[in-house]
Amino acid sequence: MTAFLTLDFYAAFACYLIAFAAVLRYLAKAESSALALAQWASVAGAVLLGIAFLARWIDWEQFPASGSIGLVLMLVMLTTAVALPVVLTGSVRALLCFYVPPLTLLYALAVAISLTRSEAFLADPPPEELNGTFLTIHVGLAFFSYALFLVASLTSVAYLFQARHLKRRHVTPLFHRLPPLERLDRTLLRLIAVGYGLFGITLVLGLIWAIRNEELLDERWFVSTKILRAAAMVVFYAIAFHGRQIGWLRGQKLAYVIFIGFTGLMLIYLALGIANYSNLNFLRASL
Amino acid sequence: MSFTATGLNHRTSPIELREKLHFDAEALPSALQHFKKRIGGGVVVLSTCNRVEVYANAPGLADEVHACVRECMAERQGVSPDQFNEMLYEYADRDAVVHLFRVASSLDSLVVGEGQILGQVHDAFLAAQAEQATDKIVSGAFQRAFAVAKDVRTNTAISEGKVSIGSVAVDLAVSIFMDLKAKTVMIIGSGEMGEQTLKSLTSHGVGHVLLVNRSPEKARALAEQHGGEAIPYEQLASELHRADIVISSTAADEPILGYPEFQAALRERSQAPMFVIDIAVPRDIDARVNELDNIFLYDIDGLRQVAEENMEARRNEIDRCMKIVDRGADQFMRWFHGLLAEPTIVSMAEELNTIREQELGKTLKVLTDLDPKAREEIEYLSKRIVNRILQRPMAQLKREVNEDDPHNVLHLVKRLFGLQESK
Repeated sequence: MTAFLTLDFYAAFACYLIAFAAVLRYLAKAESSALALAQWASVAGAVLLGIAFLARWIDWEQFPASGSIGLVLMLVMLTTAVALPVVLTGSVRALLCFYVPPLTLLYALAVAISLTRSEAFLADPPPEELNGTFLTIHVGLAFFSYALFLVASLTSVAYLFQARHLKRRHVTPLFHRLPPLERLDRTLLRLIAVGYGLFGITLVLGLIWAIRNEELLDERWFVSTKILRAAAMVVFYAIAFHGRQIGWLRGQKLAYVIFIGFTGLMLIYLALGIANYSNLNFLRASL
Repeated sequence: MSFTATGLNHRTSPIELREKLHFDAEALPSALQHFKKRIGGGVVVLSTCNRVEVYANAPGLADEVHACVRECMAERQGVSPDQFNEMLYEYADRDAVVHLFRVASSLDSLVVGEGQILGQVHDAFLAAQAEQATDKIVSGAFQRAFAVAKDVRTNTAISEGKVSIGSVAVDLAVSIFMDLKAKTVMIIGSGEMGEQTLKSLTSHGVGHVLLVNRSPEKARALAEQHGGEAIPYEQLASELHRADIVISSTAADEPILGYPEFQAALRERSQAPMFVIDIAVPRDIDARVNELDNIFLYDIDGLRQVAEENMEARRNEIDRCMKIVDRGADQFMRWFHGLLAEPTIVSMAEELNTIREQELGKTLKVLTDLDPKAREEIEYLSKRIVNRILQRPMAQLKREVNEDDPHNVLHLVKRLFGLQESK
């Protein structure tokens, strides 16, 4: 199984690298066929990751993402799954220029972690105590929300690119192939609306699980970094969503807020992870 | 056999001459029959406002075909050859194919990358087919031209971005709004360019038109003309929020709309984007309006800048397009030369088989005591020897016609094997 997963891990990485190279080729040569290749390569990469997670799910009989590599790649796979319908619905493959490079970089980060820490892909299952359908749904929904937020953040970059070109009266082949600003704005709204809704449900489910399993948690779990981070995220997207609904945040302003906000939250997440504070005061020390 | 292109276009000849040589839809069928009869091969006539060209595949040398086309053009259109001989371009074989592919891909057009020419080439080909004026070579060349043109349009940015002021405005509107049908355009003033831009937008289905003019009568007249709603000039600022697209072209000496008016309009519209086109000189709208989020202001220089950038981008794509054209021409020429070599290969095979049959007959006449099975074996042996002998020269001939002048190669082979005219 480990050999299969390692092979799958690198095969999927190769697919994302091909997609990345195809995007670069498109940006240099404006060839539509390069974008078609980028699309199929990223689909292949996501499918390969999906096969690995499915195999692990069957093997472990619980949520298959474990360790930093597994979590990063779960985000890559789900983000690809969210991004592709956005691209296909509007027949706007040019959006892949904004989606594929960050996903490939995220994947490269996972590969780097694997090589530097000699950590295998999906090597160990999560602790037995964190098993169960309830928690699987909670974690799955959380990741799906993160994927929606990541796609929203990348779409906001596309919006800013398009708006900047329009403001400066400067056009490029990529400008011509991107969807209208209005469509990007609506896509942003839908992504954050669905993401915000799902993340809200995720938090409620998490809260129910925490109350039921208080013996697993630290006494001050409700002020743990994990809970504070989640609360910050839900507050941020509540402001973005309702701000857009009342017209207070729209167009460029919304795009800036979404991009800076998501990047900021991810940087905080990363910083806590590096400092080993991701779950500070959350689980009991024995876990 | 030569594939040729003979013609003149917007670069080589004045419009007056092109008008005289133009073949309209009614005259085209008889002209095609005339050309076909005189040239004795396949022919397509491409006649548009920018070019008159005759593509032909005919027996004989290219110069003879060109001369024949010149004469036919002069006869048909009643124009002396002296009037246009010097303006004609004449291409043969690969050059003619490359020219056809360039034309179909819109690389030879007045506005490089425009999409109309491909349809015109297609229509010209269909007209020739309807008159049964095409042959295998001409059909092959045009089919390949369509494939090359599609490849060029799909895999390069040659046709991206509009290059006229009116269409640039529409292009930019489409880059901002999802559906123009659901949008409202406000036109302020009655300048000619403003009206042209409005026409471009309404032809793309803009839903509702608001017309503002200092003269209420003129506003009402324009509203009737464009099926819109007249707005009194005094209400311009208060009605501004209703417009998604604003076109201003008044003769005012100073700006009529500024930052505060648009700021208020945006607030009214819940910050929904606005596209503002100021075509007036001096400008009607304060340039600072472009600093507002969700407002995209273009003056005449801004539109021109985009048009020029688009044109420049198209020019920069020409080299890449030419690579696709060259690749397509190479593929076509390989096929074409293969067809040219076919009759010679058939003649070679026939010649050797005739010799084989003669010599076999002589031998079998001497070997009278052979049983039928042995006779059959000897005949089979002779066929195998001939086929083995032919195998290498035939393959080499197919290669040579693509690497050297095919006419010279075929001529040499005919002389070597003592072959007569191709069958």
